[in-house]
Amino acid sequence: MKGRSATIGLLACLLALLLAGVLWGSSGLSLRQAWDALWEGPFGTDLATHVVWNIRMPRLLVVALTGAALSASGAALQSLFRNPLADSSLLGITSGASLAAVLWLTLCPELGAWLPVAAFVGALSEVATVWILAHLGGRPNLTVTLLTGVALSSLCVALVGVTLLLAKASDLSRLVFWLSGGAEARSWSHLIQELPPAVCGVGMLWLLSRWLDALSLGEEHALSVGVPVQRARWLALGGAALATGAAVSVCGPVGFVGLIVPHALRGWMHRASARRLVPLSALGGGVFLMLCDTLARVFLPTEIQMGAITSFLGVPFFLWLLSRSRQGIA
Amino acid sequence: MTPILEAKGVRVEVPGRTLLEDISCQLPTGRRIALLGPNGAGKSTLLRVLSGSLALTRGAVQLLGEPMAKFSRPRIARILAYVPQLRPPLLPLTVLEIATMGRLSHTGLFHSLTLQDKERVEAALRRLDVIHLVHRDATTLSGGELQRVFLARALAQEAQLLLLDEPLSGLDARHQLELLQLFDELVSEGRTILWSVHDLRLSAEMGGEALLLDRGRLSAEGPIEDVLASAAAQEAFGLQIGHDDGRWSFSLS
Repeated sequence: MKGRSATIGLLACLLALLLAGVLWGSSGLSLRQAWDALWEGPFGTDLATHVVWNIRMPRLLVVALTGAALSASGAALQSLFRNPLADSSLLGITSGASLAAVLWLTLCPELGAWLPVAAFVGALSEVATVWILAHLGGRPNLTVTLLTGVALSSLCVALVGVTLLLAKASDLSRLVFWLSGGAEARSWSHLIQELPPAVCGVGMLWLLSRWLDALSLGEEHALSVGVPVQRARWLALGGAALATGAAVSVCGPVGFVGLIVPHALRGWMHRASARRLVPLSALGGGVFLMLCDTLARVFLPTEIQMGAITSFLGVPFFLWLLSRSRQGIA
Repeated sequence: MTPILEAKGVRVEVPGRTLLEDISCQLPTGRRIALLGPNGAGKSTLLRVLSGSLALTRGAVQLLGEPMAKFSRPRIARILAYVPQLRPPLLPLTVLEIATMGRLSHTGLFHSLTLQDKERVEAALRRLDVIHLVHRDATTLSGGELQRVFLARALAQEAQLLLLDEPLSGLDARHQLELLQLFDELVSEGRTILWSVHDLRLSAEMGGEALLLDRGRLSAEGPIEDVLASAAAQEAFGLQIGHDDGRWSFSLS
């Protein structure tokens, strides 16, 4: 019952934020003008219609989808790694996707439509490299895999830095802006780019949620109830890479969403079943990132990047979680 | 008659150490077999090998007369259920969610539970006396309660063979006796139970059969009275083991 109320509550929040985000903004439109433009539909030719339907609406939907993809990935990875601190950023999936995206934007700027594919390939290659490196000394435990991800994430960040040094001066400001994670000037074409891989990734994770629940008890329990553990891990990592790659390709690396939202929902629901948490995290991630974007867009004197806000919130949250886990209560 | 599970010349090595050496044993239908041995003898390792959780260095494990590698994981789970040593969950799943996992190999990944599945989960929870905890967060349970939840999960699998690593650990006296009574019922239903146990007196009083492990080798097998009375048991445990008028005595040798 609590799951149903949470779903309805989060859906209501998502719609309310979408409506508020469409009506409020920094473009100087009055509420009345924005409201009228919203009801008149997307085919008008005046400025208000353009602002509401071609600037605010796609940006908000991109933000919601990005939040959903990152947050659902975090929820799934936490079950997979039996660790409430795991998420796409910590495991380096975000950095792998960022490196591939930066390389793509530098080397083939004219093929921008293929950016999600490049980001997914980067995310999946990073995950595959983590897996192979962690397996070199025999069968690894999940802590070794997680720490390998942390190390590889640092390497990807360093390689992004090197790529920026090699980039043309004309591309540099665009790349740096993209790397700070944001949704400014995201359009319907960005949404169309992001939607299929993000939905496939989150859908895969949701379909795998029963296996993820069993894996959260440990490999031996999962094997005992009939989970093909290696296949399940690969599929879950693939789903997380697909969703994260889609999000990163459009909004850049937005950190900590996959950590904060599932953890907050787990605390609220007192449950961790991936079957409930993955879809709820997708909704919650959309709500959370829309809130961060609204804060960045409307309430601050200068618009700052959404990724900076999630990091300002995420770093203290991560340190708080770490101190709780040191006390053995996370 | 083909045994449910058979180990043939099993050897397991980790770098610098042999954990199991030349283990051969059969687990036929409808038996209760205690797995005995001192700490570090290899009981948990053998249970992990027999459940298919741990790779062999040499030898073979056969399920219903076929190599285990030929079976898919869900099919193995419909034949054998394994409950490893108790380790508390890190994420807050409910008791019902854990017990329901026992039906995963029957329903598959994409199908919901049928009414029959739900009834079987409920029956397993009742048999292990944890039905009243069904909505509790498993991270808040005591060790004994959690052990019974994992046993209910194994029971819900409806497997022919139960491999249980120290199932009595954490249980209070009443629940220990109830579990042993449940073992009898399950054996009379035709299921086989291989359970590792440290309480020699209790396992001896229960009767049945035993496998004795000592430093990774199978040093005795057969009826539990014979195994405990053997010189191999005295050597393995470093104890004088006596049996007089149906009472067992254990003293330091």
